[in-house]
Amino acid sequence: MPVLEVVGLTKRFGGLTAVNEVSFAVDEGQILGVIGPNGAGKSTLFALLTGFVPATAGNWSLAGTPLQRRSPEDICQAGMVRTFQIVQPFWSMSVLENVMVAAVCRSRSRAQARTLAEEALEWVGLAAKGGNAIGSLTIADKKALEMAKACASGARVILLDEVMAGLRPYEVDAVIDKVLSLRRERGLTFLIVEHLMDAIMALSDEILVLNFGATLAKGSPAAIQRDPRVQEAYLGVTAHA
Amino acid sequence: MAYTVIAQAVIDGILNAGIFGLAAVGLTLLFGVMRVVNFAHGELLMVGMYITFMLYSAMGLHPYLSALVVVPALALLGIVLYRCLLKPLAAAPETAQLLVTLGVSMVLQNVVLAVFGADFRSINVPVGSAAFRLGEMVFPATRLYGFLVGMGACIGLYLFLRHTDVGVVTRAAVQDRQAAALSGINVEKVLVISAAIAIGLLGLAAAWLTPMVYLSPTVGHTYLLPSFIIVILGGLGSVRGAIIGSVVYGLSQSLGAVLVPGSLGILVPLIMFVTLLLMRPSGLFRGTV
Amino acid sequence: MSSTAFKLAVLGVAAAVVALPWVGNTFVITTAIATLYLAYQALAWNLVGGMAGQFSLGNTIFIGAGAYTSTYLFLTYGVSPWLGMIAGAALAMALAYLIGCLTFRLNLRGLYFAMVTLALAQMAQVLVENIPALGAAYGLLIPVRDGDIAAFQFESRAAYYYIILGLVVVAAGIMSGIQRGRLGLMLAGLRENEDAARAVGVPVVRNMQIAFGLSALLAAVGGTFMAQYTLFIDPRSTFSWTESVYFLLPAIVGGTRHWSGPIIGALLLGLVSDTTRLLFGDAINGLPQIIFGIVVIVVVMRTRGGIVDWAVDRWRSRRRAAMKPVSTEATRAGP
Repeated sequence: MPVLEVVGLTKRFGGLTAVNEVSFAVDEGQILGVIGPNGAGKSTLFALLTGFVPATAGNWSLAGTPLQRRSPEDICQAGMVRTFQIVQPFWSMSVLENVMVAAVCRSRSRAQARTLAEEALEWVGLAAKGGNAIGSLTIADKKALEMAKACASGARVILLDEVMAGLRPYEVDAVIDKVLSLRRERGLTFLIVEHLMDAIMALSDEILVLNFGATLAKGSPAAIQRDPRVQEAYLGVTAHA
Repeated sequence: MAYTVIAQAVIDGILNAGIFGLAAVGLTLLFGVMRVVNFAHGELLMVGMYITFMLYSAMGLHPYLSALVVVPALALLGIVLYRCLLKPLAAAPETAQLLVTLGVSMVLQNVVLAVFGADFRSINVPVGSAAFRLGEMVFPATRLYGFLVGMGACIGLYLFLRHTDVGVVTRAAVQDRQAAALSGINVEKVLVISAAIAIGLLGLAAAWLTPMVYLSPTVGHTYLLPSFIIVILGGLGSVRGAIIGSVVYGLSQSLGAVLVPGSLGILVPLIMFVTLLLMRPSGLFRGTV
Repeated sequence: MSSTAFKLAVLGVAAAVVALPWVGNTFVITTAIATLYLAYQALAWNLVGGMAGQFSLGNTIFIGAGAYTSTYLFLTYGVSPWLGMIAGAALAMALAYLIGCLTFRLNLRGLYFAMVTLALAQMAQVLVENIPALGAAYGLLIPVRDGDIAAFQFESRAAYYYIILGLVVVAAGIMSGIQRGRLGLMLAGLRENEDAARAVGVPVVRNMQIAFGLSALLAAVGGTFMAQYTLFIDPRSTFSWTESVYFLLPAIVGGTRHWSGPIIGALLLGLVSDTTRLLFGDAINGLPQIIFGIVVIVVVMRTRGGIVDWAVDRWRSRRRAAMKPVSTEATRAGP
């Protein structure tokens, strides 16, 4: 049962078509990796889906609820949330308070928001740093904070935008573990934009390849890796097996 | 009969746009280049007018000639304002610069009040009472000259930004300051020049306005609100928008005064502002030029 | 200063504040009332200006709504100003909602919001100046009815003092309550990083409207109070640009993040105003305002958030430095 269905999503900025008739569906609990060369439209796709950029055409829905032309906060409350490629914390608040903002919309009180926030920090392994200032966090921690905020918002579908960029290999492994355990224990669905091929191949159930804003291929990681069109798009030449 | 009255109002409105434009264009340039909301814009104009007045009272210098003094003086003031108060707050949230200019406006207004008192002052120069006649319509000479000089300067600025090297460099800095800096543009110089131009233009407006109006420490406010309205209508940062916006504002003000009884005429431009804002929130134009 | 010493000091100040009308002379009470009123309107402004981060230059519209509604109803229909106050507050909230629809919904925040509210305040002034029933440019005079409590007039000044004191306490309480609740958390998130807050589901328009509406409510109640205290209102002193600016100064100077900020700011500005008047009489016209302007410039350039915020931040960072975890990673600082 698809939890997210996207049909004909298109975005034109004047003469440039950033996203071109992209359609796909994601099942509940699935992890969909989104890859493509730089400028392929991956981040624009996420911005479109979560309402930060108005779509030129197309529609998409979450568990049947149409989301086009809705504001980012509405889409989040409907169940889809994104993280930001360049982390966007609330700088003057503590780590816990950051996550509390994410939890407050589905809480009846500040105390309840606090409980939900502490829970989310546990899931991403930041529980010990709840009282810290943002400035004292490492980049891996800041990325984990973005994930904690996404989890605390109560969304069913989480869009992770290059959440592993800038991390060391062991930190990347930690993120992979977190995503898998969140999927397993919370039933969350993930769309992941990533450039680290090993990580995304290991993590994804299915992979969507974008090129020049359009869908180039969609399939299992193994199939994508063998696909000559994908190889050409990334490397410029067709690899001769 | 009524036709003449309306025609007069239309032309009056367009003529007024000359002076409005000078203030608005400087304001929009400051916003476009520095992302600064200059609340002291009206007070700086007022200071320019008082300097013009003093030069006339002390030396008998004709206001139009005193522009030669007032424009550089205000340009310098603009540079000082930028260097001392705005530049240190470049990284602060946008309200910080707004507040600092608010503080400057309070200081300027009340220093002038303390020195000159609240009484209205005016200059009596021959050009102040001269007028042109066209059929039944009368146009004060000052207003016509104000329009010519004001519009001339605004259009000059527009062409400057559009076609000269410095202008292109300024527009680059507006669009993407980091990229401009990386391309070797001396962004600091652009900012200083912009501050000088923006406030210098106020000096020009001051010299031309002084023979036309009664001076008081609060005269700046008369021009502050319209400047902001024009800038928002035209599109923040757009010089072209400010020029066209000032014509629209001038027209709505003069037509409003003629068509609506009592002093409610002042409401017309404000209502127009609110309505246009509803229809097109981001203003008429985008971009600097 | 130890905790008990601090508590005693607070109690001492509170006692002095409560006992003031008994010990002070007319001048002291009058000054105190003026300062408290400034603090009250500053707190009202801070709800939208500081907490929601929307720079309103139009709170005078709401003050005027309160003052003119209660006064008009009293003069024309004999309605008690207490009830008129409620009507005025309702009108103010309705106006705030409409203005919010015009601005918040259309994504017109920041500079736009400041300008639109300023323009609307000017419109209000011109409008009222042209309505004879509201006294036009001459204003409205409220007939003296000393001691007629139903007419919101009291014989002694002390009564007015306690009322405005109570209002300040209420306003501070509202601000404190909001900050400790859900609304405060949402407003803080929107203020810090609107996109990030919206991404996690914080509704922008609704929260802004609530903050703005509350601000309008408080401002209007204050307007009625002032009308009853001075027994005179006119468009010029109610809606002018100077007035619009005046009520935001204490929050800017004192701080927007804590309820004590606007109060301390008001005390400071009141102190400046009275000291200059004592020292120079009225010889130098506008001297207090010059000093206000300089204070604003200095505060904004040095503290970036007002005196109280600055002090709290310093105290907090000192405390955090004491418990900072050992970290060898290079961290990226700043947005």
